[in-house]
Amino acid sequence: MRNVRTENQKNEVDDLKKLIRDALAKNNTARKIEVLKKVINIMVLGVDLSDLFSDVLMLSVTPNIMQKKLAYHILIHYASSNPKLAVMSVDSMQKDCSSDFDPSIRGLALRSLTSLNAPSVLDYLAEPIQHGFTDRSGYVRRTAVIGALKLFHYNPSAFEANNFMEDIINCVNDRDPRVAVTAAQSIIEIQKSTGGSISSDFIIALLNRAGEMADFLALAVLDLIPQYTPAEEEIFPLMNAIETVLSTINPAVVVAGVRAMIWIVSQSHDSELLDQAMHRLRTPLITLGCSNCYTQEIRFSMLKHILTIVRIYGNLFEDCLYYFTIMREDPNYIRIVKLQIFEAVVNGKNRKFVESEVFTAMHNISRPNVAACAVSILPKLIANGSAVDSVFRRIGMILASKITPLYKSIFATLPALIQLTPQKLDYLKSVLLPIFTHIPHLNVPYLNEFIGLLPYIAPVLPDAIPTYLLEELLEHWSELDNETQALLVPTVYTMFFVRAGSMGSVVTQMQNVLVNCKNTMLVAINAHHIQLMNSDPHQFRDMLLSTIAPVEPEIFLQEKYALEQANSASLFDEFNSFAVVMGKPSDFFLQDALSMSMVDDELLKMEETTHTEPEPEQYTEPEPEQFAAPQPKGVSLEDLLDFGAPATAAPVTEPATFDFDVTTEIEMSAFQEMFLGMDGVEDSFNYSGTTDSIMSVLRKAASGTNEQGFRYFGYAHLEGEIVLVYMVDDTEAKSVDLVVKCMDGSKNEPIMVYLKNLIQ
Amino acid sequence: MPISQFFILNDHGDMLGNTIYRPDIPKNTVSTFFKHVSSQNSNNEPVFSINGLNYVYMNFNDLNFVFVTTTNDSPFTLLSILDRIISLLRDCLGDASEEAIRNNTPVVYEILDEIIDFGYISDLSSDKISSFIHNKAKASSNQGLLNMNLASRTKPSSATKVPLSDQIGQRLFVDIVENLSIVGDSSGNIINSELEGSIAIKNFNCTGNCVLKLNKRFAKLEAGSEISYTNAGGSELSVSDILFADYVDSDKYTSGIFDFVPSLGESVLMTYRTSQKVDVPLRVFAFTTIEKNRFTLNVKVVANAPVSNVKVDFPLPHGYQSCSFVLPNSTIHKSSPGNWTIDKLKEGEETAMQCNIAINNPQYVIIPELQVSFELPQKTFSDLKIVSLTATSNTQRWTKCISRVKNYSVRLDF
Repeated sequence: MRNVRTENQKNEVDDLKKLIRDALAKNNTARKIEVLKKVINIMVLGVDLSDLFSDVLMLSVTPNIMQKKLAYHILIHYASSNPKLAVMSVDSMQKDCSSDFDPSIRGLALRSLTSLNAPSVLDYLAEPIQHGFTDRSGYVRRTAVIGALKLFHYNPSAFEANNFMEDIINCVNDRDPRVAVTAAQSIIEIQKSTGGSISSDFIIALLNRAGEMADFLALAVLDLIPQYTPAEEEIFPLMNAIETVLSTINPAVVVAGVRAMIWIVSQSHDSELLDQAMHRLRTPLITLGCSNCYTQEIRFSMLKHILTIVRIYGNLFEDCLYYFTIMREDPNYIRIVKLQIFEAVVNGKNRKFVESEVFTAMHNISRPNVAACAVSILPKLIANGSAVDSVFRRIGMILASKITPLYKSIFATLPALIQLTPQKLDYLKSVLLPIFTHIPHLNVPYLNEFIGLLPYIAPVLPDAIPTYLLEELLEHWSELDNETQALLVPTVYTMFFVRAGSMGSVVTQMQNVLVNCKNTMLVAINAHHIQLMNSDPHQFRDMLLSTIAPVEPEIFLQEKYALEQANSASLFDEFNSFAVVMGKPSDFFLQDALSMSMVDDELLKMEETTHTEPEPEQYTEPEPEQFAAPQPKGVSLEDLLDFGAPATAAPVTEPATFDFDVTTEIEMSAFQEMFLGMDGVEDSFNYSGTTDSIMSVLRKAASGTNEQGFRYFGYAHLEGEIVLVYMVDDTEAKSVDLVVKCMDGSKNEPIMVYLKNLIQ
Repeated sequence: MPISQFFILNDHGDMLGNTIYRPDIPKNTVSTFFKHVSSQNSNNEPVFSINGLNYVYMNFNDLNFVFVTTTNDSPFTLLSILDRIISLLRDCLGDASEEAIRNNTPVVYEILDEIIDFGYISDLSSDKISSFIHNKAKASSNQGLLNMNLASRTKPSSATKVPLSDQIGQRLFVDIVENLSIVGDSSGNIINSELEGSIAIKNFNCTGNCVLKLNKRFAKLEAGSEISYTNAGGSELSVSDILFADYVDSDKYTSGIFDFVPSLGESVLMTYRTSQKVDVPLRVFAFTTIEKNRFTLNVKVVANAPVSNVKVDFPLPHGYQSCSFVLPNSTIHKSSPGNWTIDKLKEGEETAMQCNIAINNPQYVIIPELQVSFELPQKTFSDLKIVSLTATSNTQRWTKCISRVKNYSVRLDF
């Protein structure tokens, strides 16, 4: 099949070659343009036409700009796969760069020349760019600025040798606003890589000209404001200037204005002014989030921003919640974020309205993802005084009607509902018993939630049911995925204390299963549980049972949403960005972009071969002694309850280095549980770098979660054992408090020394 | 803000255009994107991040217009640029449909090369761009309608779907588009309503000054102030928010007269939204009864003004066995279970429908709400009208009103 296709492609290339030569022979411009259009149409389909490079090159030499544009487009597309031929196009492009009569040809040629993605042309770029800076047309000068930026990435030494930075800086004052704005954007991009500081002078200069700019240019200027710290007397004039922007129709300009306003007000350190500004900003935010005049993509992004705001300023939209009513044409993703907004703002006063929206969404089972989200809000409704019977009746209806797409969400939500209203356990027994008498199929999507719910409803289930369910699951251990296995371990221990009479055999069965388990993390967690059980079974029991004990509504609201609120507060600094839409700080989902330097494939191959040459023999330093990982062994229930002698610690060799495995993520709740149960060491010390530098060091040692920008919960895996790191960073004093807890307590000290060295 | 890649993909995953602006991304972005949006769990969110790359897309005419970036940019900026690219394609190709794009791939690339260089956008207005676009667009098959009835006093809406580059003389189309969203209860009462309107312009080659005069002045309410209840016949429209294109002097909106030079191609002159009460031209009443294994839904609609294209949707209960309708007269069409359509209703006319649904267990019937949509022909909800539109003497001028209720939710008691 592949051969046939390749053969077809070859024929296609041959046909096109024939057409091009035919058009060249007849010297017919219309035919030349037609054949170039044909090439582009086939190129889009992903067919490799790089063999046509030299033929298209011949077509590029023409005074006809339409033909030239098409030819250049194709040349740029295939330059990287024809680095040697790419050089041949340089000459014609360079000539066009100095074309006298038409700035659009000069601009086109300069843009095309600097876009040829081939190392062989790099030496030919500097001169045309230099000329471009002094061109009389703004179109060409702007292309020169971008050309210089390309050179900065592709050939930094040529960029520096020609002192292009100075040229770009001069362009900030260019009479053409397009050139000025592009220069400012380029400076910011370059200084992000080189680490230079951004002068506020050019930001002010551009701000003064923003009024004369078209919307997308004015937008670029507004985006510069958060790079600039205004003096006290500038705050109010700037606020007034931004105020006019807020009635622009372009949503990007309005949000950039909102962001700039928030930035400027926050610089005044006047909380009352911030409150006033937030109140003023309500109207544009609602318009962007709820008005059908904007596309649903814009509304979605704005609703996500509003969600972040309401998690901090809960009552800002309190009196205008009806704007967020779920509408007939709302797609699922908008419905879900509207429900999340309701969850964030619901209180005693607006509960009735929110209830109506949540129940309506929950009953619309033709949209299961939205209904599932509505179900997850029920605990917060109850904690705010919703009628318990009404909520449980609806859950009962869904379970009795066997609406299985909602089971996952219901089983995930029931633990919180039971903790809030333990009196409804008997009602739940009647609706859940038919479901819990059958073990769910192992690949149902709600298996984990089903297991998670077990300890909460176990008190009302007949003894045999949970025992049978867990035994069955352990019997099929090898068929379960990692997440389910990881969930079963703590569940079995919790069930052991909930239903001590019938669970002994299950615990023994689990220990036997774990003997052959290849998941070292799980074995380590189990070993940790055994250690806890051995050292103080009462404390261990209390710890496990406290996680499923009833809670008061006030405490539930305080604890459940504290982290979310803190997270939103740190997200607020990234207003008007992907981070807010993603709901997590940008550090957590962005990676470093691939390097943009051009790489010659052939050179690369040569480099690879030289690297594979055998190195001359060298003496190497011996590896530092490694700690021996505890070997898992079969444990009976009797062993578990027998307070055995603590294991002797392995000798420590100084200086120790550690190869942490940071690939596994961990839930915050699991972190807290483990952190409380482990012994650790604590130290406070100063550091010399920046917060970012120490975070990057720490992230290499332990993956984790940043909370409020200064608290870090890190987690790593070291030779089968868990290491927890908790750090509080005082950025002003440049000091950190660091806590290290390793399952093998003897490693705490060396790990602390190791991390301290890294951070300092 | 640098954009690393732009591509256009149809809903089946076929590529219609692909430009890599920065070589800082891997090669599998298109397949990663398509895999993600095709999966059921994605909910089709228009902004998402996978493997450290950010994807933003806009779906228009069943085509996905996608940007890929590596930095923590503003999604609004990227979405606005996508929106603007779609408008530019409509201006330059006549429409941003799959057919128009496939017929004009070289023009599409020409536009993309001109507006974005190394990920940074240049000026995006049709006025500026059109002077740099040299290839001519081929007209799509449905654009032939344009030449019909040139002398007629009306024109089909497809008249605006031609490329700007076509030599059709100077034409100016001005639409007032209003959207009313309503939430009501089962007794026909309105719980809340929100009116959004916009004045959209499509300008073919009209370069001079235009003056648009409306029959109402606008008054902007301060945030948090009480909404006035002037009736629709008044000379003032109180708005909660009002926004303008950058070519309009936004300080003069209170007069209801706009003096401006419209940009070439399509643009929105202004948008407004108001919570001011307007007369809702259609009320919906709904009653439900449950008897043994039969669930009955009675729906009555009453028109206070001529309305058309009325659609009533209701989700059928989970696990229903059968569903039958009782319809009173021939103007009513039943399209499918759970959906009732009425072509037209005159002023003062009312009609009703009964739907009998056989169910297994009367205890577990879940019907949360009815969803209604309809149109108000040749009028606006706020009674806003164009009094006059002046432009250069040889400009043909056309105006239109589109008034829709896309969202009328009738909450049932449950």
